[in-house]
Amino acid sequence: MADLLSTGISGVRTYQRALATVGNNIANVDTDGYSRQRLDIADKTSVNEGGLNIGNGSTAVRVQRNYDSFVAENLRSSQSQLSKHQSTLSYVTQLENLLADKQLSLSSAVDGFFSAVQEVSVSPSSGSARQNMLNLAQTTAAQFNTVGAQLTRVEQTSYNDIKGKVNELNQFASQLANINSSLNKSSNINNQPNQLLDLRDNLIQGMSKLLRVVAVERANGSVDVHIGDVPSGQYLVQSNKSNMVTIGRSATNPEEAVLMAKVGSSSQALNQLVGGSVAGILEFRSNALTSLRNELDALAQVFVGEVNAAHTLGIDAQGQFGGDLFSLANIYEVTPGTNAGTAAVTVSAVPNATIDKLAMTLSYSSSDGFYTLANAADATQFVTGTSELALGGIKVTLSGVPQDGDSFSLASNKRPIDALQVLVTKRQEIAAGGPVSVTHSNTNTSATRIVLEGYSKPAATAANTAIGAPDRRDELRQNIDIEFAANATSYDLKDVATGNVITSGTYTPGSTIEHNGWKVSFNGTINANDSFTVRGNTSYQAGDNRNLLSVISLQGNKNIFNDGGNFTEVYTDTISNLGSSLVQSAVSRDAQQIIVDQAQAKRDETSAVSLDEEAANLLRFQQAYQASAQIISTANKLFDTILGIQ
Amino acid sequence: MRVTQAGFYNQGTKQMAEQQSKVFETQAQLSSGKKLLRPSDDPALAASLNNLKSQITVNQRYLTNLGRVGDTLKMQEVSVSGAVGIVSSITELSVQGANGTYSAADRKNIAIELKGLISSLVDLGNMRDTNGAFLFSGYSQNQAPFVESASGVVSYTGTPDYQQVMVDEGRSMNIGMPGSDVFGSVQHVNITTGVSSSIELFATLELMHQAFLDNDIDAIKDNLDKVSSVHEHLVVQQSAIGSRMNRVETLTNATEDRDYTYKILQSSMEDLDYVEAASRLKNQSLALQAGQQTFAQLSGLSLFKYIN
Repeated sequence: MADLLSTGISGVRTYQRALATVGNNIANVDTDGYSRQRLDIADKTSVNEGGLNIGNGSTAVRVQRNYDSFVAENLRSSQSQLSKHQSTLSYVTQLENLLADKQLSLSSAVDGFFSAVQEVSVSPSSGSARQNMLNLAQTTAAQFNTVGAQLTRVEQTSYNDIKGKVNELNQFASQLANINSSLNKSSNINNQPNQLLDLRDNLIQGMSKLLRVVAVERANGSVDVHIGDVPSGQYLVQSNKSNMVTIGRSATNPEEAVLMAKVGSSSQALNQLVGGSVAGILEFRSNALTSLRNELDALAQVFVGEVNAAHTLGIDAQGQFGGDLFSLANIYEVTPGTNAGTAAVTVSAVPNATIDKLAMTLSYSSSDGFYTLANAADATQFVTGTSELALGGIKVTLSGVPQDGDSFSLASNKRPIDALQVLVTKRQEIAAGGPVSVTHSNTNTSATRIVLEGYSKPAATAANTAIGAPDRRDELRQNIDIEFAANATSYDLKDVATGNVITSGTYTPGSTIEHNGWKVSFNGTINANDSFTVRGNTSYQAGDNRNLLSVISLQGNKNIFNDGGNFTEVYTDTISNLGSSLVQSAVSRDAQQIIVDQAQAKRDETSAVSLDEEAANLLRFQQAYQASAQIISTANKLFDTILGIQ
Repeated sequence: MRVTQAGFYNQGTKQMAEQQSKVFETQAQLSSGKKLLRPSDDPALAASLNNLKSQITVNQRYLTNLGRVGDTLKMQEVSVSGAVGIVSSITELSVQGANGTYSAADRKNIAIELKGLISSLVDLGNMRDTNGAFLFSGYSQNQAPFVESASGVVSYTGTPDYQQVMVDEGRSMNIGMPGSDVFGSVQHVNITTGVSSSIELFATLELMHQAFLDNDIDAIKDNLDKVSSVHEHLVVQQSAIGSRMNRVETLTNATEDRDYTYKILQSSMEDLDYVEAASRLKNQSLALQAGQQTFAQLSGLSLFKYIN
């Protein structure tokens, strides 16, 4: 029966709820992820009274959530990309801040070292200049090590960062699984509490920032979450179950972080890491960080390799050939087996080669008299030799006398930049002097002088491959007389010790004569029977700085790197590459930020609360409420009128 | 468009934060005086700048080296010009002594004087630099190059090498002079026969000394020519040092010019244009201020204010 009182009451009740909804919207104006709610109001079924259909008041049908799944998905996917770019950018910025620090500049460290070598070349007999050179060598090594340690710290920080983010992701996933199980109690999304759906969306949004995921909504509002950007990827959340994501280091390369998802009892590697901050950090690690570390390692390798190659050709204060000035031996850890012989192993890095970080075994067999250096994981990859073996970017130098079956195992240990250390610690071990001295004979009729153009390590000959063969550098110090014939053009090279002619040749004015690694020229015309001497230096003359000059010449040498450039230029390229990749990242980040802003604006436009709108609604519903109350009052008056009939 | 509270606040704070970061950036430039705060500000410029800085370091090293070469040359100059003076005195004494009016006793006295002068010459040949290294010993700088035996024979014990120092990219210069070339063999042309031969400096002077000891006028006259060849030789050495000093000076000037140019270049690459930066800061702070004011004004607009 149509009844004014109940119509009024229905209005009062409906607008009470409408006001409550508005109140709730206002109360949640700042709640994260809150979707504004609206009360759906419908008129009650009318009743037929005497052929008339009279309305029966209003009723609150349901509280509707203003939500657009397309807008939400848009926001999530753009947010994922943004988080990825942001993480990459923030880590690349860290690297840049580290390397832009003048105190840590490797090029100024290298420049400082060469400058100290120059000082010794100016005053070779000054002890303080020599000490300063050794100190600068230490400083340079320490600088490399410090930068290496900082990069290792960045590597570890980023690893732990991913670990923390994965934990967060797992928590979100298990919370979402719980929400799914609550949602599963009903089969219709319209009956689900709005607050639960907001919570659900918030969780997916949170996950998306960490890792790009795709959510597939079921009819009851519960969602399945797939990793990646297609709904066919690995499940992170499936109904009320969540799969734990774990992080570990790759067995083959400990610097590589691997993400695994635990599905049931088995683990599978995640392969759809396309967005989110986790993907951003992983990308940073495999691109910017790895290439920077490789480039700086190459710098350390070439610096050490070249300086050592030059230094070991010089004569130190004891008249011995110089030792390695720097060492990279710690790039590998060498463990001898239960060996019977006295063989010892020194590891060094091959300049301009990539160090493959292979685990290797070195063994000696007396049946053929060769050492074999082999990849432990792949025995088909091996080299044999007797004194020097190179494999996988490293060089193994052997000394001592081995016994049959002696072996060593070699394990990759440190990066070159971390392994770099100074080997020469005493002033008198600096090999400043040249290995040979040249002069003219007093009996020459010409005043022509012989000039030493340069020297290098003699190329290997077959005789050097035997175990315990003498140092090739000793050939450089063989005493030789250059004796010109009466025609002043043909000459003999005569071994002073034996008096035998080693070789003969014809001299054309202006050309050079080379033998045993040394190279000489003459500054004038040769007269008949002129002779010149080339003598190996077995003692050091305090002012001899020739070998230092050859070390110094490395500083400006543009041919020591595979791709050209000297130390400064190569280092500068590295820094400027990093700067460029940072600019790239920043541009991508800024572009993505605009997309996110638009998606966020769209989401806010759809789902966020506008206080002005709520204020208007508040007034509107308040008036409707007041009017409905007036209906009750009118009904009451009508009733009183009836009762008042007397 | 539906403007919501969240949208309004997000937008407003984001824009203000952007403005603030620009102001901060400009402020950092102003306080450091540098245009480039980090390589990514301009990777290409940062690369050139880093290469340039390294060039400056290397260049300054060459300047230091040139300074050392100059110092050493000055000391060599002192020594060789002293030697020229001594040989002049020897010549003078010898000419006097060749005069027939001198008695045997006079010549004895001159012989003693000559001996003293020869010893001083040995001392000059054994001169050290400020580091205590011998100037004229070739490579064996820790060992006096000229040794006088009991019988008065002076011999050279150094090496015949010229110590070199890098003074420019790929260019080296002799810093040392072996005593064997300065105080060693001397080219002598016999005036009467015209035959050229090589004589030893100290041996020649010793012969003259011996001639006076022996009171042998013929020998004195014979040796006068040779002593004057020695004198000539030392003057040539002196002028060789002088021309090397000139070369050092020219190179030093060139290197200093280059250093100056590099530094101007460095400054133009990395130093901030203060006028531009200051006016930029002014503009940016104005924009920030405008953003703040409008934000405060707009956030005060609410319908709720008018509902009583």
